[in-house]
Amino acid sequence: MFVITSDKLPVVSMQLAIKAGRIQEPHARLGVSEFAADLLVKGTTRHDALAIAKQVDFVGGTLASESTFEATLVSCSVLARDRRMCLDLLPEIVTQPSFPQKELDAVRDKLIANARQRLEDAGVLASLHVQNLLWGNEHVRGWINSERTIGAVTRDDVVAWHKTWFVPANAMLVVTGDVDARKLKGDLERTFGAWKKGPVPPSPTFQAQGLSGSRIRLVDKPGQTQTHIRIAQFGIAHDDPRFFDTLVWNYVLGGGGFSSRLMRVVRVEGGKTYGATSSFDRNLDQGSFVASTFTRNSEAVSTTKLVLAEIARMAKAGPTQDEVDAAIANIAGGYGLRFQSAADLGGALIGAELHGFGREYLANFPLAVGKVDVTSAAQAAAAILDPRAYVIVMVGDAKDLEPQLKAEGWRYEKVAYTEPISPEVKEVAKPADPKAIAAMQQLVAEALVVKGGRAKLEALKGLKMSASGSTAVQGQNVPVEIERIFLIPDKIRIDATLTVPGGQKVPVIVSVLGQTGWQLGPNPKTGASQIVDIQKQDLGAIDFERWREPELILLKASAKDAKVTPLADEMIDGKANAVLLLASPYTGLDVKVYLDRKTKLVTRIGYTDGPVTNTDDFADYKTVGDLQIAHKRTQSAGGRITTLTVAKVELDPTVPDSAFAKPATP
Amino acid sequence: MHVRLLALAFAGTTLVVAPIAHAKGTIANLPTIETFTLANGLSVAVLHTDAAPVVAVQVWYHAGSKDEPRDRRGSAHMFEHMMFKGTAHVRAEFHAQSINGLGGYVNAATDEDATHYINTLPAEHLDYAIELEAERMRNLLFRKPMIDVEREVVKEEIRRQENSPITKGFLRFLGVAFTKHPYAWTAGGTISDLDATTPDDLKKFYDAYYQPNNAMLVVVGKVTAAQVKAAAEKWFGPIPKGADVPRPSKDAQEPAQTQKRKELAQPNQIGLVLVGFHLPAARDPEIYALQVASIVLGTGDSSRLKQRLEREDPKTKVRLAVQAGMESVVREEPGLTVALGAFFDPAAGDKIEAAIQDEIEKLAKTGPSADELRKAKNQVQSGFVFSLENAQGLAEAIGRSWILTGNPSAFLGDVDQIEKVTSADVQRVVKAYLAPDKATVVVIPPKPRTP
Repeated sequence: MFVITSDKLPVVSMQLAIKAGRIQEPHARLGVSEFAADLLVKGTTRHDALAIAKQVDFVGGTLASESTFEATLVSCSVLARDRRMCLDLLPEIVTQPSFPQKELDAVRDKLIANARQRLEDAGVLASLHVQNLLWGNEHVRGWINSERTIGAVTRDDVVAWHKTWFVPANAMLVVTGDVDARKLKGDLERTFGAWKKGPVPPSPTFQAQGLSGSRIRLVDKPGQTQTHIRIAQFGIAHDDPRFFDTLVWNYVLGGGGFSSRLMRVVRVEGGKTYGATSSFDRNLDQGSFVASTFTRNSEAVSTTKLVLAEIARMAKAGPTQDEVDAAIANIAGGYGLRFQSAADLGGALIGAELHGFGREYLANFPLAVGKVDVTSAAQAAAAILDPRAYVIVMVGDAKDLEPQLKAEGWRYEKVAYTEPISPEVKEVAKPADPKAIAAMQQLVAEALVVKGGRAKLEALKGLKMSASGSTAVQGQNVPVEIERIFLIPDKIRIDATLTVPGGQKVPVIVSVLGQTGWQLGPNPKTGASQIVDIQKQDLGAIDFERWREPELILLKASAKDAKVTPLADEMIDGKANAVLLLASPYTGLDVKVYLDRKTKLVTRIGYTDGPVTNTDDFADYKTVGDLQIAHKRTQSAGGRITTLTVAKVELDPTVPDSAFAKPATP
Repeated sequence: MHVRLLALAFAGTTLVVAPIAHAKGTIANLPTIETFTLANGLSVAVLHTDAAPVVAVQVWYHAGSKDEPRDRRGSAHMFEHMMFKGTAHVRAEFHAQSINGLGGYVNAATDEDATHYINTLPAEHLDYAIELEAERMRNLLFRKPMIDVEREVVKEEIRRQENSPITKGFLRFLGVAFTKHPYAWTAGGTISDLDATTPDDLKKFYDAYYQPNNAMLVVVGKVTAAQVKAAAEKWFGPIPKGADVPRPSKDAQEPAQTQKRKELAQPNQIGLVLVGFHLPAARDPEIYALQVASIVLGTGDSSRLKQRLEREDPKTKVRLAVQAGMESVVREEPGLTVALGAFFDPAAGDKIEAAIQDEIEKLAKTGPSADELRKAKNQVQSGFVFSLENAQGLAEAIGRSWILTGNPSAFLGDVDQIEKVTSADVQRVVKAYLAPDKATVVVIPPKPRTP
């Protein structure tokens, strides 16, 4: 509990946070946190809804409760002379709500009214759709309520929710204003004293499915004359070390109102919109980064391209020195403006405490912003913004938008604005259409022939490849030279040499022979070269690497027992690609393979490991022996990008086992 | 949703419930507002507060959508945008960017009666904010390419309203309620009028209304009146006084309404009934009793309309509305008070209208109870004290008070005036102003649902 006393004005505010919000809701009980929050003021074991409303209205106070993504926030504000009202009533509604069925029915009607009314608001629809498209249907952030889910919540659900989460150890209280801290303690002991203690259950955790490439969803709203656009990627968690850097580069990109690049390009220069912004979630878990704007239908795709170009420019070059200075001046300089009342400070304190930062977070905030520099902001932007993997939602009239999307060669999925945004929970995934599976198997067979044929690939004993290019190290691109040897089935050696700024060459080697392996690289602390054994638990990852070897992936995909699921086509560099999901023997590590519809060559292989998406892009195919081998390769691992141009490929190289053995000294 | 619906209905304009209230020293100690006028007619109001090292610097121009020519609706709003597009000495967008760069916040808003420009920033930059505001009072540039781009921006703002059936329904309601007075339209504007607006039209509007004798500088925060006076004299002082300001609405006063008007608007997902009545102007002393009536009827969960419409009827077991309430839009010239109810069942619209009329009739017959009267007065007092927390909000209250009554300090007396209201006063004004034959009703029907 925190108390902030101030006698500047005769007012008192209480703010209580329960760490239970949308993220804790069971999938089949979507909305239960909202029901519970709305019902707290609608009756307790001692007062009915009208009696509560009369008490609050009589003193002209406010007593409110709302559920957010990660907490339920209950607040009460009154004139100091009426402080007893808050001191008695807030604890009562939190600890002894009665959740009357009649009130629950009224709350349900309000929630249904909201769900219907949002159909008239293309901006709200766009914001909900983009979360669903980004996070998918297996992640809490992708679940969007509907009239059906609102209809499914019962009083028992609400009672159980309250019993589970509304326990003292899961709550924090801030009291601000004209109060006597010593007296307050006694008062609160009296009013909260009977609150039953209980264990705080663990919160559910979710893994992001990851993204590879871009996806576009067109939400058709006939008659709409203005298109609402959202572009989203994965963001960061509040405790991410790049949080303050992100605050700064995002201010420059789209968070800074008229001082932002998006506003300048889309509104001030383009006249395409009233507003263009970008924002990122400030949550304990990884949230989203979303750029938002709207424009007349005829400018929808051109405006989207302007926003994408600004995101790409920020990812590539970061903000300028002047922009960073201006951003810091506003964010740090304006920090005090936000705390004009004691209640403002109380709200901020609750926010910091919810995320486990402690009260010093607020005092240190301007200093932390001030420490951001051009380099750190640019590195954070480069690492977080992936110009190749994002989702786009457009809500507008499809008859105006489809010709633009088609002219641009952008593939998209189309849904009606009236459709539920995320599928019903009980719905079982439809088995893929057997015809679609057969067509995909046929395409894989054709791709195998283009690659060089089954016989040639099955006879292959190994590959040696040398390449050069660049890779991102701590947000900076540095030149790299690579030699990679793969002897089928289980010997790998990769020798890489990085040229770090200053011209120094840093060697990195990974070598695996069967079930043992070692690697050479700089000691993370001293920077000196060292050799370490690859730990047993990491060898699993290397097994997977060997399994998904790009040159052999079509053999895996065309095997008799291969489990292939056809997915929707996607565009890569303006070309249509067939996409198939290939089940791997490794749990949770299925591989997406992209085949160019025209050339039938593999253009991309991607997979998702927890929150990290990895993709390898292949281009510039050349004939080596009788095989087609890509000579341009781009690897993106969790946003870190390595581009390589292959100089030489040797098939079936002769390499002795000794080449894989661990040397005695670095 | 009540608030959400209203917010939608008023999108792009400013909804103003008359500035509420003041309290005697027993509730809060209020420093006095110092006012003075420069030789060129610029009014200045200063309120010193020391809660935070912040200053709110606002310039209020007495120019709103009611001052627009009838075929140039949207000019005031367009103007608000142009004020950021550069002057003789300040390049486009620099005003906002440089205040942002000092950690400050910049915005502007246009409504029916006024346009005001907002700068909230660390108190030490007072002089600079006043310099920037003085610069754009008379030195604005009218460059066609810039006007053309900004016109498109404003049109997108209008398009957003056009895609909202509730906003459209509300605009329809204003059109029905006001047959002659320019309150028939809002500051939003219309696309066709904007397309017809030339740089010369805008220049004419600027020269007529953006003059020191038609503006008030409001400063609230950790500054002294002497500091403000020095800066105002230095930057605004040299600007010459403008001509007398035209007021087209003076010749377009709304005739008294003699019978009920009722119309049907385009459907929306949720049905909405709007039942409105004309109010007297902000300066009329009857406005206080009408405000109390509006609170008793529709503010707070225990208010009469919410209890009647949002709760199940004990006899019929029917809940008529999803949400209900009442808002007063007090303006410089006679405005409106509006009761509303949102509903699902297409048949509920007429029943809600009848229930609203019934509650008004009851109030006219017996007036509010002593408890209800005390409750309404407490709500006004409390709302007033909480409004003192924030420099920007206080500056708004002062500027608004000047626009509505000509006196920037008038709002400080509102709590006392409200305190004097009796149950008989409420009865009297409800009978006089909220009579059934003075009602304007617009029903936005719910869209039919396919199962």
